[in-house]
Parts: sequence; structure tokens; C-alpha cells
Amino acid sequence: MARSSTENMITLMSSDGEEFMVTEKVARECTTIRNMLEDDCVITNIPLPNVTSDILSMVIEYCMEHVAAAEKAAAETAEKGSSSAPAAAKANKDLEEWDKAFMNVDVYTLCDLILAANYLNVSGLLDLTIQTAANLIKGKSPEQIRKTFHIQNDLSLEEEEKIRSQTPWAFEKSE
Amino acid sequence: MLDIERKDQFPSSFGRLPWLIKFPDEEKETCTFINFTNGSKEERNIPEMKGKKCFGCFGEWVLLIDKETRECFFLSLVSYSKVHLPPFKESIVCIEKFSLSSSPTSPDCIITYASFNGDFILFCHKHDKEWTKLLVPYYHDQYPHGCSGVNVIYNGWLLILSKCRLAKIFDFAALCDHKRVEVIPSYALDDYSETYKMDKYFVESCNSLYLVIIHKFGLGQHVIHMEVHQLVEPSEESEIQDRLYWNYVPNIGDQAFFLSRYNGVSLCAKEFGVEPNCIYATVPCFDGERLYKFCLDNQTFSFDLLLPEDRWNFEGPLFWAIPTSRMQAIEFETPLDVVESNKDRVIIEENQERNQILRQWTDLPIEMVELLFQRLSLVDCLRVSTLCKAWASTSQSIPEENAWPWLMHSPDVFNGKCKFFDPVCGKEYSLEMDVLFTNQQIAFHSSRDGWVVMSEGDEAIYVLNPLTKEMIELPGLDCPCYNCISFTGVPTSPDFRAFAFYFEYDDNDKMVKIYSYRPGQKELTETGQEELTETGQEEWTETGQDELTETGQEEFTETGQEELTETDQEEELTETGQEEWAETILESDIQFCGTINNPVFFHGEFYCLDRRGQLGVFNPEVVTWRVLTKPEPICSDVPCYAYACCSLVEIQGDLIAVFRPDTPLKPIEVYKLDRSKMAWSEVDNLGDITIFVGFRNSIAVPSPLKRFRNSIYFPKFDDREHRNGVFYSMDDHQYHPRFYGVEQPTTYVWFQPSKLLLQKDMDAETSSLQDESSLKTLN
Repeated sequence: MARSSTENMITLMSSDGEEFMVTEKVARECTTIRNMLEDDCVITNIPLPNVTSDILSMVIEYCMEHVAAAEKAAAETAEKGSSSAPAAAKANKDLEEWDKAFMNVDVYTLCDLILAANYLNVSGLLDLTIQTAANLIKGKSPEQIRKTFHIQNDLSLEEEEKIRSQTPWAFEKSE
Repeated sequence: MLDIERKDQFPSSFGRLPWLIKFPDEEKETCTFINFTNGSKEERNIPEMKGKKCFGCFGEWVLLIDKETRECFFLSLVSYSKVHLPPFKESIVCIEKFSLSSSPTSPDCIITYASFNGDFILFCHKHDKEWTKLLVPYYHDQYPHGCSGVNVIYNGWLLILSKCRLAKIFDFAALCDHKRVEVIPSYALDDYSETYKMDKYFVESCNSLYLVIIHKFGLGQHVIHMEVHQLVEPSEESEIQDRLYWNYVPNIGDQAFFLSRYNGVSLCAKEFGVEPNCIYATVPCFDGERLYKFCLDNQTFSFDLLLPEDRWNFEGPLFWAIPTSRMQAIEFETPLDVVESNKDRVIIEENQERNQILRQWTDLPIEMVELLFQRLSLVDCLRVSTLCKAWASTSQSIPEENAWPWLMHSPDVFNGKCKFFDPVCGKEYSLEMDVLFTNQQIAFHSSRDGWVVMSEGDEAIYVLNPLTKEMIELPGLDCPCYNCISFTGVPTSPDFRAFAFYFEYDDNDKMVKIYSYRPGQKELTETGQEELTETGQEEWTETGQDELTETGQEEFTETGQEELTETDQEEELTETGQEEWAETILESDIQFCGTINNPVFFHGEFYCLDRRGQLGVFNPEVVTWRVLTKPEPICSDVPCYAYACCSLVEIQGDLIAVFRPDTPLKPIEVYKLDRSKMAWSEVDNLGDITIFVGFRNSIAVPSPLKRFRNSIYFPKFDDREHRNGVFYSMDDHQYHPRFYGVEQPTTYVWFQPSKLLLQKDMDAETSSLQDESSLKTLN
């Protein structure tokens, strides 16, 4: 179903007051916004007090890329009658590569992106960011994880020992 | 003889590396030389071998017998000279072996031959006119297994192996004088059955004699285990051991053994640039002749296919041509040490300066942490929960699914070390296990609720909680007399009960022997219902055990045996003052071809799967055994060679049977029991289920991580880049990363830490005192 080219534009406003004009289709990638639009179809200006401008711009970038990819795939299907499997696989791979490059961010941005993806309910982005964080944790010792994520250890020695003593085997050296 | 440069007949590195040679046969006139390091083959024509059959290779000397004339001679692979022996008239089954006392060039060389299943040997000196027949009384009533034909002359003794591990050793000179002088007590262990085979090889190495035993299971003769024993001559002071005995050895040092049907040779690994402490063996298999490599350093093995065309050729077409001093023009090439680079990469470098208030990771709401946990292993989750105060309580949120099975194996048990390999994450954890410190061979049998049943040596059995390091010793049970051991209840509680199953392999396969054990005093009531007495419960402690067992045992045997249980009179293994396993023999009208896979405890009964897909059910309460008529067997003919192994697992109230062919050419078959129709229905897709299969125990779990759904994990790992799990995907019916050339521990068990974790948390809540005291013992 092709939509009309004169699409509705929506204005999203970040916590620091910056405004972003996006197509309704891109905005709808955020389930939170989609719900708002469905509740109130005349709304055109949405304040997002939990998301800063730099993070919001990244979320929008992500949504635009994914909408574009989906549209391209749909267009190809429409053209050829059916989607060719190799082409679809290549498109998928390209998008994965894009996601990977998109995740080349520092841990603070990553944390903000997780919170924004959760707040705006962008399932693909939440998936991507959580997986990226999980990959950073995997196989590391607690000290290494703290270092990676700049986490201050505010536990006393006793407290830490107590938690570890529940499952001492989880803290023995892995290879 | 051809007038050519004979040297060119050999591959270039021949004489400097061990080579495998395949003899000319009906299909091919040439000899095939195989480079075992890369599988490359070269064909050579050696006219002397035409029409002959090879019966052994000793250094440079190959023993050949003409198929027609029975002419018998040694051929040197170096000089092509011959050493003639008397014609060999005896008909030969393919699996017998010859052995020599010394090199064929030495004047007093003796050649012996032991007949398969017979009760005689043949021997000759090289200039004899004929072979001398000698009756050897190894076909003893007590060990009605017959002779395996494997024999060796060592140190003036003649050692002959029966089909089980029994070795008889005779003083050879005395034997020639028709005197029977045994110098070793029978080293006897029952062979399991037709479906459990042991290939035995003698290897002389560094002035010692070694016995290598390769265990094979199933009609597919799948290699599952390997062990090495050294013949020990007691020192003169020793009074207790006044005879020779076999001593289990964990490693062979800087030697490498090369085994084939026809020879077993030891080499100094470094000298020939091969990996030390490894055993290479050619094994005929369903998919062709394989080369197995056993790595004793880390107690793993792997295999590659050498001759795909030689399927199950039990004549063992290959033998090792091993360099000898005379063959060598050796340039020592020590292989380059493979330096493993540490691949830990830190993707995100430094904290970039930002002018906004930094959002801390520790501010992440618990729901986000839970999302994170869904993508992490149990160990990773537990580590996250010790990072800071804010996350300290997150361990409560670790999903049960994260505790997927680990492959527990012990490459270094002699140092009390145990390893847990997480095949999903490709991570391995090492645990110090003082309780495992032993110089004996150990085997893992089954696991349940965080406890593992293991045996040590030939009869000791323990139930071990590897994470809390608690260990409970059960009465001894001679290892080959059971196929599998399982248990119910918590091993530390009085309602713990252990069961060992043994399936008879008689002609009808209708009998099952069950050994049952429960701690503490017990009484059998007239109806056969067992009840724990009050005293039994109280006294099942370490202090009261000794007095208790005596009385408990008496009462147990006196009151309630009747038709239920029957104490095995021959069972002499348990020490006095200890409890014993009670033996029960149960029969069914229906044939049951039991295997060594673990039964599944399901609705209060043990479900056993036989290799055809039939179910047998043991009810531990009323002590009954029934073989179900439904579901009907999946494959009706008993010799189902393609199935190397079958496993039964329970998940979400369903019983699932997995049949695994020992070849990548056939798909794995999975069946679910439709309980309304009581019939097996084939499953194409496991969906969100992951099955971890093994020879003994198998576990099915909800797929831990999405990308691992619909797969079957093997107790194997691929060590090419870093250690990775090996699985079969039901999506593409392929092995990932591959079927051949991956490592497998020689003894392992799938171990699921889940329940234990919950149990520990409960312990911590209810009795923190107890927890702390047990901690002290751990540290």
C-alpha cells in the first residue's frame, strides 16, 4: 500500500527545546508516538521531555534508515511481483552493517539510547542497544565490566564478598 | 623385481614422519600412502605386496601372507629384503594379531600368533620349518569371553588379551615347556555386551608396556572413551603387590602413540615434530576409516575421515609405517609454537567528554537490566550483580533460562581441576575441585538438580555438587555392571534414592537389573512399600552411619526381599560396615534393547529409551518394570546401524527422543511422544527449544538465546579460533561449524546449575549461619 507523497509532518521536541521535523511514518516507528497519534490524530507537535536533542537526533536517524530500508524492500517487491531472496538477504545484511556502524558510540550514549529506545518504545533500537551492551559485558570480570562502563564500585569489601560468596564459582577465573 | 630407484616409490617425507599405508586389495593394485597430518594421499606400486595380505608392521618390517600359497615373510620397507617364515596354514579371521620378540633380523626372533576365540597360540622362530601350536588355558570358565587375539611378547612374557580387559600373562619359556605359569592375576572386567566393545592395543614405549583401550558403544561402534594402562613391575621391597599389575596412567609424557589394527607404536613426539602426549588411532566406522586423535593433555579427542570409501572395513585396511633409526635422514623440524593472541578487545575506548550531566549505567531501571540479562549467560549475570549497590539485588531477576547446561569435563582431574564449558557463549570456566583429587580414572554418569553422579576407578561412586563442592559417597558398584545411574530426591536428604540400571544383552533382551540404594535405615512392609523409619532419618548422619548400616542392612535383607529384591551373592565389592546396593531382576515379555543413555524421571517413574524407540518404564515405588507396547518402535529392525546414539529428554511435559546417526550424511531424527495416541511423531522444528545431547545424559531447555533456538548441542568444541560450541541446526540440518575434526572430552556430563542457584538463595534466606559455616570449609 503506497501512501500519498504529501505525508503529514510531525514535530518532535527534545528536552532541551530543539525541534525535529519528521514524516509521520518515521515518527510512527516509535510505538509511544504511534499510540499518541492514534489517540489524537490531529496532534502535530510532540514534546519529549525525557530525550535530549543529540539522542533524539540519533533515534530519528535510526528510524529514518529503517523506514527507508523497509520502503526499498516494498518497492522491489512491487516491481518484480515477488521479492528475490538474494536481494532481500543483501538488503538485510546492509542494514545490519548500518546498525553495527550506528552502534559505534561511547557507553554513555549507549545508555541514553537504551533509555530513549525504551521510553519511545522503538523495539528494534532497544534490541540493538541492549545486545550491544550485552556484548560489552560478556565474558568480562566484574572489574573489567566496571571499567568498560565507568561504574563506581560503591560496595564495601564485605558486601561484595557476601554477594560473591553466594556463588563463588561464578567469580573464579575463566579461560 | 623392478629395476628402478626404489626410493622414489615412497613419498618424500617417508621415513621422517609416520605414514599410513593402505594395502592393495581387490579393487586397487597400488598401495595408498596417507599423510596423516593433512589427509593427502599418494598411490605407489609395490609389486612385492601384490596378492598378499598384511598382518602387521614392525618398524620397517611388514608381515605379509600370500592369500593363495600362504607363503609368509617379512618385507623391509627400506631395503625390500625379505625374511622368510614357515608358511602360515591356519585360517585367519581378520582381527588376530601377530607379535615379535625382537627385530626379524635378530637370530632369536620369535613370532607369535593368538587365534581369535581359540585356546591356542602359534609361534615360530624365523628359520623353523613350521609353526608350533601351543595350547593356552586362557579360555577359563570364569571368563567365558574367549581370546581377542591381541598378544605381545614382552620381557620374556607372553601376554594375551581376552575380549574383555582380562589379560593373561605367561612366562613364555615355561609355556613352551608345556608348563602353565601365570605371572599376573587376571585383570578382569566384563565386557558389556555385543553393543559395547573395547579395542585393545599393546604399545611398548620407553621400556614399559602400555595397554590402550578404546571404548566403543552401540551397533554403530561409536568411540566414546579411551584409557591407558601401564604394566607395573613391583619393586623388590614391595610385599603387597608381589605380582605385575596394570596401573592407569593419565598421560604418556613426550611420547605419541600410533595405533592401527596391525600395530601400535610409540614415538618421541618432539623428534618427529608431532604433538606429544597424543594417541592417534585408525578406527573403522560407519562412514569410513577414521583417524582419531586423543589428546591426553586436556582429555579430549577428535576425529577426521581418512577413507570415506572404506565403510566399516573391520579388516582395518590401514597400518602405520613408522620411521626407524635406519630409515631416517631426519631433519628435526620442531613445529612452531602456536601463540594464541589474546583476543580481548575493548570496543569502546575512553570516556568522551560531554557537557551534559552523565547518565550513569547504574541508573538503568531494573526492567532494562532484566532485558540485558536475557542476553547474558548465568555467570555474566552474576558478575553484573556484584558491580555496585544499585545492582546488588538484581541477582533475584536472573531468569531461570539463563542457567542452560554446561559441559562439565575434567581435563586435569589429577590436579583437582574441573572445567565447565558454556557451549552457547563459547566460554569455559575452571573450578578447583579438591574433592576430585584422585589418581584414578573418573567418569561422569548423570546429573540432576545441580548434582552429578560420578565414578572413580572401577567401583567407587559419588554424588557431587560441583558448585558447592559437597560430595557424598555411595556404596561401590562394579562399573560395568550398570549402564546408567540416576537418582531421585536431594542427595543430602533422607529421601535420596539412587538407581543403577543394567539391561541384559541376552538373546531376548528382556531382562533388566536394577540396583537401588537409599541412605539410612529402612523397612520393607509386606506390600513392598518402603518407608523410612524415624530413626533412619535421624541417624543418616556421618556420625551414626557405621552402627546404623549394619542393622539397616540386616533388616533390609531379612524382611522384605521376597520377589522384590534379591541380593547378589557374587557381589563382593562393598566393604564391610557399608550399605550395599540392592539388586532386583525384573523381566518383561517384550524385548528391550537398552543403551547407556540416562532414563528420564517423569511423573514419578523412570522412562528408558531403547535404541529402536521403545519405552521401558521403571516404577521405583512399587518396583516394577514394564516395556510399553505403545509407542511402537521407530525403527523395527534391531540392528539399526545408522543410529550411534539415542537420547530421551523431557521438556514442558513432553518426552522427546533424539536419534543421532554417526555421520553428517544422515539427518538427526527427533520424535515427540504424542501422549494422547501414545505414538512417536517426527518433529521437523524444535522451535524455542535447545537440546544438549550426550552419550549418557541429555538435557532439553527453553532456548537460552534466540539465535540458539531449534538446535541440538553436542558435547564437543571447536578450538580453531577460540573454543566454540558444536551444534546441529534443525533449520538447515547441518552441523555447525562442522562434524569432523572437532574436539570432544573423553568424560563429560551436561550440568545445569539452575536449581542449585535457587536453592542457594533459599539457603541464604533461611539459614545464613549454615551458609557461612559451609563457606569456611570451601575456603
